[in-house]
Amino acid sequence: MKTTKGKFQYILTSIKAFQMKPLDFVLVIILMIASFTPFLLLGGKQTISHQAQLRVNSQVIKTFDLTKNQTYTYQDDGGDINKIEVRDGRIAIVYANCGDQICVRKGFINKTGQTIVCLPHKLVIEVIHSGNDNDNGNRIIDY
Amino acid sequence: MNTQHLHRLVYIALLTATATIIGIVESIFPSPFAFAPGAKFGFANLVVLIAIFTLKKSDVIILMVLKLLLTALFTGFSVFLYSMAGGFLSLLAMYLIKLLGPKLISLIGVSLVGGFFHNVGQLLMATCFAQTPAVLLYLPWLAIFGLLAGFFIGVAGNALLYKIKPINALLVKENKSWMTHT
Repeated sequence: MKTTKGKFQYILTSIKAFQMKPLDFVLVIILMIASFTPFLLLGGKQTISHQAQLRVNSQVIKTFDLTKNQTYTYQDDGGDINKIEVRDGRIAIVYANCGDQICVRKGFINKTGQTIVCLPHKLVIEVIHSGNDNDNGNRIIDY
Repeated sequence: MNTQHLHRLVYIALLTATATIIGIVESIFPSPFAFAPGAKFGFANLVVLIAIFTLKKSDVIILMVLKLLLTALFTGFSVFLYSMAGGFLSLLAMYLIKLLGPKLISLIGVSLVGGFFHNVGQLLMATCFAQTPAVLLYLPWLAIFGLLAGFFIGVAGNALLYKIKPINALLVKENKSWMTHT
């Protein structure tokens, strides 16, 4: 009991040493919660689609038909490699030589609006609405 | 040109130089966020934080623009866009949160907000690059780093403003109240 109280006192004094005010902590909590808002805005209303688009540097490189199993290797002049696999109506990056491997860990996706982003390679795979011809990737998005 | 004016110019130049050097040194190291090239902790925010408390608003904006342009000469255009988005958004956020006053929040709070919005700005820029809002899903990760960086910058800024007499002497009158506590 005494030790916990001592620890608490210690933490209190160190906070005082930093001269933090109560609202600072409230701010931290609010900001942390606020950082999750994109999940609320982007989540939900997802339907399964059979078309996916590969964009690099916002240029459409290839459109995948998710009903056909295939593998495609994207390689650019700089040596960036992304191996893309379509299997059972879903698409994934199965290999990438980027540093973070976030795109590979994302796994298979098949719902409209879902994306695999490989920012180091400026590469995006987005599942797009099937049979939508107008969506040629050149649209201007102003978020 | 009176000496006061000269002092001001030299001080802005000094801060700009410091911020630029911090920015360049920071960009030499590999980005701590491998998934967003150009995204940085934004330690140069320390200079901006001090500037906010020791300079007029217009001077802080001059400092910001100079710093961005100078850093861009050394680092390149994509980094410039990232820092611009992060820099101005965090500057705006810091001024807004500063309105709450020294009774409610401390310098660290201002810096925390700055660090957070620095990353928000960078992610918004990344959203434009990648053309998908899905990039924003990285925000929780970046927010943790941004808040951590903000915290340390806040502690450092506090110490600098309070302990270093020449800086302390420069505190703008209306900001004196931020430093009255021991």
